[in-house]
Amino acid sequence: MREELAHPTVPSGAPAEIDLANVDLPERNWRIPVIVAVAVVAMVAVGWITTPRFVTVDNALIVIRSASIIGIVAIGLTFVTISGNFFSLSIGETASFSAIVFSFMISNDWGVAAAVVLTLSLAIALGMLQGAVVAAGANPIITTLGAGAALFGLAAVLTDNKTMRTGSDVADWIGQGRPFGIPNQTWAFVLLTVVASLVLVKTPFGRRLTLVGSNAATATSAGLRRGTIAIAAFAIASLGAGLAGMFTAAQVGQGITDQFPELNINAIAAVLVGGTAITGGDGSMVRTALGAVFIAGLDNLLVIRGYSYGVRVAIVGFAVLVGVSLFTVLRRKSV
Amino acid sequence: MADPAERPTDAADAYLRMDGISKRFGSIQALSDVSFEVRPGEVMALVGENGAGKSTLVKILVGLHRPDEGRITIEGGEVDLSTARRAEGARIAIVQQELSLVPTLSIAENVFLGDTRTSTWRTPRRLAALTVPFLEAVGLGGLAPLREVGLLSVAESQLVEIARLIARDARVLILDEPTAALSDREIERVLQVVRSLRDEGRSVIYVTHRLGEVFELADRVTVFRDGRSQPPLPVSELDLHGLVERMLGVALENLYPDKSKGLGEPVLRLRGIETPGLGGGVDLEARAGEIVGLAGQLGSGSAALLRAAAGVQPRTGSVSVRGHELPPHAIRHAVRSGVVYCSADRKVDGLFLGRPVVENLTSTAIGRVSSFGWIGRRRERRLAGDLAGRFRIDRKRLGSTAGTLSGGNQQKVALGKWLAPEPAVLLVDEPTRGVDVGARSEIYEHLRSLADSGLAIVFASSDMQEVLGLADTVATFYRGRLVNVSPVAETTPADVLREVMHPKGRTEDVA
Repeated sequence: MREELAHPTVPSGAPAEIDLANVDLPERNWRIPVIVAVAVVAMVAVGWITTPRFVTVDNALIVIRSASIIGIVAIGLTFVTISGNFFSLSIGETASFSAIVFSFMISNDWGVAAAVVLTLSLAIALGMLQGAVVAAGANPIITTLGAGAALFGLAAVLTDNKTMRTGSDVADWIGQGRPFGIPNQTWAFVLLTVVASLVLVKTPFGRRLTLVGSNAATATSAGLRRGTIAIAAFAIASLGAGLAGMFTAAQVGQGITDQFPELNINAIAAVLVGGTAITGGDGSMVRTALGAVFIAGLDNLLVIRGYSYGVRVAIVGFAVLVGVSLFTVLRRKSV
Repeated sequence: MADPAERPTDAADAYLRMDGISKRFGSIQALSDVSFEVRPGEVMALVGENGAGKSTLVKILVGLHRPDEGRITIEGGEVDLSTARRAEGARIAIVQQELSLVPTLSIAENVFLGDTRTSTWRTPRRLAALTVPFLEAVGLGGLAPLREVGLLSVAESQLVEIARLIARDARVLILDEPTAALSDREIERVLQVVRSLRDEGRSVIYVTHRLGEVFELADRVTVFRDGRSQPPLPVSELDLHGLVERMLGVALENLYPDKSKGLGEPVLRLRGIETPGLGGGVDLEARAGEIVGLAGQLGSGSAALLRAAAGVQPRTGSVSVRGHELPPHAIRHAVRSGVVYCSADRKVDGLFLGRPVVENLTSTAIGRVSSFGWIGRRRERRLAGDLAGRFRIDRKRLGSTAGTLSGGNQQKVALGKWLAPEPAVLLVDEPTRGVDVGARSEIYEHLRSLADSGLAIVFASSDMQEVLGLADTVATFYRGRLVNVSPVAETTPADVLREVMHPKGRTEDVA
């Protein structure tokens, strides 16, 4: 016993005998991405077999366009969730507000470039504001719920509940253009997924965001800035909402206060079905993107099959419950 | 069973006996062939390191775990304790570390909570009348039985729990670290009650980390180590040193590294520090190559001093590092200036349990492994590999989530990450909490070699032996005040114990 314990020698910082840079780190939780991918494939397969109209080129374009809108928002929202701030419940309202602002600027001939820049800047500012309130210690759910209601009311007052029309060729192109046959929204969605993935995994900001979400107390004592991270996360989520609002306003040629009645729930569903940890600290942009495709496809399939709004919402809700339960069990096992 | 050569035990005189108890959880053998006994009218202390198997044994006794092997007898007859209800039927009861009273109910309701023998129709007044004798038995005669439990102090709640056991007429009372959160006057009150329970002929199993209490209270002591029991020994045949050696399984001299080879210039200077939990304006210095140990019980102010110096909690007074003054309550500034703090509870604010070890190790130096807004994979792994090497963390585990490591390895990661910013001062609160003996001696070695490489290390510990074994300079704390600072060579365990427990009171030596 004494020999075993007596005076272990401490090795110096000598170079490792194995080159660590070349050692593959084990992939954690490989089951979660597989399950998400299988869910998407299964959803398409079921649609294919049961509903011939589901897999036509026209319908596929509808699905990917709506998946892109949900996805753009969900990608931004994923930053909030991974940072440990749960969700933003003002996403749909921010998107509607942005759609109105964008339409107003276009219709008043501010120029498309100015309208794009100003709309997105305003969205970012709205997100930063909410992030700052959360950083000061407020509950993120309550804060964004309140902010969403305020934005909705403000939009209603400003527009006097009238529809803002865009009426501009360039704006129409933003909303309806299809370079190489793919809608602009989808290009933006794919690009955003790639950029967001890189930001999350490869940049110091993404790492800090993940660590703060994993354990806020440890992050604080390690000298990471929680507040700054929260502000940035909500700004990104709000930027996603701004993009969604702008694209949709340009696509349909108008902005109204209740333009996105289901966006909050669909975007949250996409994040959850994508297996992002609700408590923060773990998640993936690619999985969120797949989650968005799953939710949009499922909703579309149900629409084609003639289910009512209530049934659709119930089924999406059920899918979220199944996903969340499954991922929670898997996560518990792996730790 | 007990080695007959060591101490002859008369099988007949034990009230409760456990023989050949084994219990396995997955791949972990929690208990192997353990024997344990307690006589009527006896306080049997149960001591051992964290993970030695004490709580598993206790849980078997109260029906929360079922042993894989072995038999349990009460007064010679075999008993089945496989459920909590059966254990209660055998009149075995426990007061746990975490209080299990319902804070919104009255004392009387709590005392009779879950007691199937009292009628549902008892009025509060009659219940109160029934409660009075039990409250008197634990020295709480002055309390109104209808008072809400949430309004009581921790010590009073602890005593109400004991009253509850008496109300159920438990013959075997298990007290699991009842004094962990109490001040010493309150401790004295609890100990007094325990003595009177023993004098009534009940058997008390007293689980504790405070070895002083073993000598103050217990008749015999059973030491657990690595899931095995040692034969019970009368406390009168032991001293503190011998008891610690039995717990650790290694002579104290071998557990701790050599002292400092030579002290350099003062690196950390604290002047007039006051902070929540610590008053009186503390002055303290730590020199390069020096390990300063802060000895004190929970809430003595030693941990508060570390947190204040690190900028984790607010303070008044001055903290300077190599002549550079640190602003109060500014963690980032402190880290940049070379002062880092490793917290006592790695699960709360020491580790990112859900993230890989690599990310934990580099979490304090993300900027250093990045350039142009990009984390360098190779640089990150090289830094993590280097830190893992210096703290002997298995490199194959670098990709595992931190939560899957053993306590000792988790602690090494929690400490190791603080070497990434290349600190001048390392502040460590409870460096070996929840760490097994082997890993403890390793952590001590690492801390010493860090000090030898020029760091100043200040650590706080409620384990007096650890402070004496590891530190070059000992500072003692009591009730939010610094009591004394002296080189380790000029102090004794008795001095330290007296200073952290009863600075002006009794002077008798338990060691």
